[in-house]
Amino acid sequence: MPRPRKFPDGGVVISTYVPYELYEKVKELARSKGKNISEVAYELIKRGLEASGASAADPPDPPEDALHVALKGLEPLERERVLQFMKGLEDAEAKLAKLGPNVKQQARAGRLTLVDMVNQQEVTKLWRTVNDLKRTYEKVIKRTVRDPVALNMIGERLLRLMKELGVPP
Amino acid sequence: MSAPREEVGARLGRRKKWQDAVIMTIYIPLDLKKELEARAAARRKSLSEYAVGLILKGLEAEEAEEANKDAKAEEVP
Repeated sequence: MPRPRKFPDGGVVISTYVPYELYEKVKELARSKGKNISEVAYELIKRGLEASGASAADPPDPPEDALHVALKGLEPLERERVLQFMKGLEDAEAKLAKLGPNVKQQARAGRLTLVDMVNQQEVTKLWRTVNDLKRTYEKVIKRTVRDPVALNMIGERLLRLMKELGVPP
Repeated sequence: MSAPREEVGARLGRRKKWQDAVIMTIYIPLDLKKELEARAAARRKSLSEYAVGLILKGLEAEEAEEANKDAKAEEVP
């Protein structure tokens, strides 16, 4: 009879880049408990999650709040421009998430297989959209949004999109 | 014959990065991975960075518990 699954709903292996000192500590703990390193690391992650408490389950998003505060201080026309930009950014993020990881990689590499040809147009369109967003960010958003926290949040989201699609900075 | 790993690392400027760190693989349930990814993304961190932070927190909790146990054992006459 085969050994039952450790995790009935399926398990995955994650790779973590850890300082050697920490690795040694985990190894020592595993030895003292008579378990393997992965098991102990898994337990520690669970404990860490518990220790971080309920607040971590619903992480606050202060940059979003910062954006709303920053928007309050703007003139109506400026506010509308920023809101339109944010909508474009959100749409692009949603489209990218819909396309999936493989398409994104191929878009970066600039080569698509026949199977992915269906998505090619979508990727190209998205690439152009993000490029336009980049220009708007440089010309409008940077001048309009004066709050550095909000500006940083918008910039980081845009940069993530640009990296995913291979849009040059 | 290929060059020793340290030499290659140094040539690529990676020696320092790899000198005091290792890659640790952890087998976890799929649900937990998804949860960790979501939390890491909310904090704009990589999964690895976030997991290491949690391991550190877990270790601290473990050590605190051990210290508590020791203190209680000492109290017992």
